[in-house]
Amino acid sequence: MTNEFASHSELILAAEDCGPDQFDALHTFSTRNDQRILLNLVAHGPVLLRGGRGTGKSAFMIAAARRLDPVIPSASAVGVYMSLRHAPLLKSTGEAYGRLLCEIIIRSVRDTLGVRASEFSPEPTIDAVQYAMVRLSTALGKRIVLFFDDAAHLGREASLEEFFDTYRTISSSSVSCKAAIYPGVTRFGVRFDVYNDATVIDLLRSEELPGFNETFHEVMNSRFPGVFDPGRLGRGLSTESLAGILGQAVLGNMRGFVFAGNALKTQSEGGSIGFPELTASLLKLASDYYWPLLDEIRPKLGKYAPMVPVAQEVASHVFEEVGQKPSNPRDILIYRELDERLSKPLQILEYAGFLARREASRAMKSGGRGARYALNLCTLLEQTPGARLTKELFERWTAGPREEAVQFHRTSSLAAVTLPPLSDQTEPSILNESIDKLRVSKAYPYGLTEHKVTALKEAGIVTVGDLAEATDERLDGIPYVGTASVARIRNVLGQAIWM
Amino acid sequence: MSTEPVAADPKVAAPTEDLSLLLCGDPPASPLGEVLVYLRESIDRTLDALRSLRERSENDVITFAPFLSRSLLELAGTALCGRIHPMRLLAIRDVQQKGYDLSRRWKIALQWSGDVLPADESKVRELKIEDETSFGSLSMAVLGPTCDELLWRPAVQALVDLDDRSTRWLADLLSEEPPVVKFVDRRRGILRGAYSTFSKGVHQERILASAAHLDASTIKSQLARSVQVLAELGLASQFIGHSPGLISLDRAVASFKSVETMEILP
Repeated sequence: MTNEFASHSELILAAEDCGPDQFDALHTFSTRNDQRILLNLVAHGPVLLRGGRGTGKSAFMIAAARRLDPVIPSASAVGVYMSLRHAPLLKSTGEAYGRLLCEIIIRSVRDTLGVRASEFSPEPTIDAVQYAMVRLSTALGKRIVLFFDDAAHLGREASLEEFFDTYRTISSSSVSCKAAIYPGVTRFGVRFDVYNDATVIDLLRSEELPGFNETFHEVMNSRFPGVFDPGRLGRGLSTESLAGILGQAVLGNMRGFVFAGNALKTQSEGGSIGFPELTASLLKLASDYYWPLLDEIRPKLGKYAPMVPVAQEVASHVFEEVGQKPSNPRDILIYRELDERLSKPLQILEYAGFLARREASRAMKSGGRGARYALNLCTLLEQTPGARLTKELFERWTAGPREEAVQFHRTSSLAAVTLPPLSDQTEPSILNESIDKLRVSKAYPYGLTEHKVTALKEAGIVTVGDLAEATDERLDGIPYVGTASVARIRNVLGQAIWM
Repeated sequence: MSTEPVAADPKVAAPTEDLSLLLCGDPPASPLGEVLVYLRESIDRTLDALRSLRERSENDVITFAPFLSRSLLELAGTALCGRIHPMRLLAIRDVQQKGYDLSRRWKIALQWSGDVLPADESKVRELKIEDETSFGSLSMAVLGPTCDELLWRPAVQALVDLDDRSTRWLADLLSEEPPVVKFVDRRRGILRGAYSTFSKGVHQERILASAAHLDASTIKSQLARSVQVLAELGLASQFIGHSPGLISLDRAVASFKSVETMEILP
């Protein structure tokens, strides 16, 4: 993936980077399920919103906050959205983490409410913040909803206990907490019982469920207005089926879908769009986006970084074996014990969008039970004979009945995959890496130019951690780094550090 | 005046019998069946009453929905209790047939805490029936450990092997981990929270117009979640072999899917 993707950055905005005036135009929530999720997010009660990268967690949280005061002053509750993307949080644990988190909460509440929270200035301790929140709620005559984005991810289990402790403590009859977490987050601390202390909502978009094609058709129209005109489509393709196959190819991931749309737009170069162009786009996504993504996330995973090569090995086994099957299946069943043993590499693959867990327990032909996963069609297509999306294959994947899953039982190739010892790294190694890491590359399409890297180094900013801690003012003061560059730097930094 | 038939508004005309069908089954022609028919009709009336709040103000929703929602939970709990422990309802029926003084409390009446949920949550743990265990010491709560272990888990095990994942509720149900062991546990927690929430609106506990109030969003969210859980329990109950009024699997799944499309209080 090169600058052809970088040039479409206006289409690849993360929800949290989207200005309020653009948010509603780019993010729609028209399905019944979307509305139910939003209702759960604005209602009183703790919620954990769970989904991989690019599934729309931030979009939902922001949309929910926008249904509350102060955006809607007449709403019965106040919504305070905050992203926990703060580099110091990554490095801290225990009391220090708790204090930082409280400071973020205090700042967010004051920023959101302005003069109405002029007396809200508790000490940054959990108890003081909890007490002050209740008093504020009483003074406002409204309940308060706190939206914690980027709360928990795979590489940072150490801070999870503190976060969920705070989450649980601050929740009260007048304050409710909603948090976005990634799949694979399993350690919540001893005081937090995930299913009894919160409603867990999984952001699952599956072609097996009704409304899938319609949802992505709507997104395609809003993100690529006029681009995929029906007149450009080859025989056998409609705009809805095109949206559907792209959505299915990326396992229903919104960010992946936007990348896929960009890839297709580039491949077709304004001309006709048929199966050859679709094939080229999907293969390019596999080679230039998905596989490099595993390298991108490795330095973020802390002690789980050594699991990335294992994830790559598992992916290779799975896609090679499945790709060769004549029935072109899209699913795998992994025997339960294997699934548990390889849980971390599988979670990494799920996070990166290579596969999506669809069922927790299904009977296997060879006996026992296993979990069913759907596979990313881009990386699957790479392994199919001829690596071509033919009309026949397209119809099989879009209109045909679901093929039987390929089963990986206890003596399958996955059984031979070994796990390395975990690293003793407690914080993501990315913070200690040189800023050279952030140069424009397949992994970082919005990366830094040679010129910028030199300028930053000359200003004493040498590591990614240095860059993360530098203020906008300091960056703006560096020669050859202007306001637009600061935004680009924050963008690539966000991609490099956060999940 | 136009003689053209008025197209039914899908929101108003949504089927109400599917949830009650899942919970009450197809009542047999028997004393218990008579009770289940009454419960089914009561559930349908309660759902209709909830729907009628769609066109009302938020204040009306806040005033009336908690009562109706709690009634729904109680009716559903009673129905499930009757299909799992027929004797329990037959005993109540017997007493009520002989005279039912409205002015006093009846000890034999079904209790949400005790008959549907375990009375003492702190004592809920994995069931262990040993040589010295007496039947009387076992909790018979519908969503208690005894029924969980002996009835719900085998039923849910059969349910997860359904070859149908075509709706979100089914997909969510089948992607839960672990699907069988925690099925009742989680739903008990949800229903306990919902019942408590609705009760705040029924008992008029609040004496301050403060922030800690039950607003329309919270009521609607709790109701939607409760309906889903009741439908899941109703569907799973169709796999409890001894339960009276079992309906066919196809019909149960179709009803479950239909409940998913219901918008009671959007």
